[in-house]
Amino acid sequence: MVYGSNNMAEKPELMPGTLDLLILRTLKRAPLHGYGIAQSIKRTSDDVLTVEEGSLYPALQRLLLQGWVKAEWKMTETNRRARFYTLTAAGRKQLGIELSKFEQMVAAMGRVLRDAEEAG
Amino acid sequence: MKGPGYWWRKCRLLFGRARFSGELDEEMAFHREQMAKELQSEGMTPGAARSAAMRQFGNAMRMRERSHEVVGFRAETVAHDLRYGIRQLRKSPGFAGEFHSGATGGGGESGGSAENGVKRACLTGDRVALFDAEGLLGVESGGAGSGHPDSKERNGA
Repeated sequence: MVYGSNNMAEKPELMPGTLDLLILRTLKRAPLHGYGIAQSIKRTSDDVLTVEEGSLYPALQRLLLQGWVKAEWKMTETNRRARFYTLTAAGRKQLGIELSKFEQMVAAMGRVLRDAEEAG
Repeated sequence: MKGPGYWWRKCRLLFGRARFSGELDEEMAFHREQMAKELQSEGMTPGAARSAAMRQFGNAMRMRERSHEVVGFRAETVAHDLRYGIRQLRKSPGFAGEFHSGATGGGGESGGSAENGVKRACLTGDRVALFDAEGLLGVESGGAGSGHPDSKERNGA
């Protein structure tokens, strides 16, 4: 699950299922280790989204099992061994599917909200 | 419908549970270290940064359990999943592969043995050969079946 980082009252909680989409999208740019993925999502969202480690690693295992990412141990710039995740061809395809589902959901919610606003 | 690729990865994970756990621990330790480094760069002392990273990271044991649940390492489901996975792979024409148990110890939730002491499984075409620590445990052939040798034919190795 992805949560707004510190203040739950101010920062939004994302819809369930969006973590996979965020991870796949982040890995489209470049292979990263788990910490790098969490940092990238936090940075790109201007600190609005914080990925909990308790959700990140199970999600990565799920994506590995599905064959949407692959993992490889490599050395970091600081010469430390880390497990880097790379998007696979199947993962790229899945990213397209997840993105399209998400956009449909957002558009549908937008229509409902606009309708409610007009009625109100 | 999950394809042979999924079952291949699943069986590899189930056979390599000890290795999987070790890698996950290393990965989480790396994550905590990076968090501590970041906090140190913001002005914390090394000790305070380490403690804060531990707190922020949360319960590593619980996290490990959740990852294990994702890949299906619950003791009561491993044998079933493995049998099912191998059966699915045997239905894939021309599939060949081999699984090794990473650990040398006996069974148990995080031990090396995948099922009833099975340490290694080799799949070629529609045949599967299962080995334990002493040698060949049995060979099964044919497209449909239990995925587990009905008649064990030890070769005396």
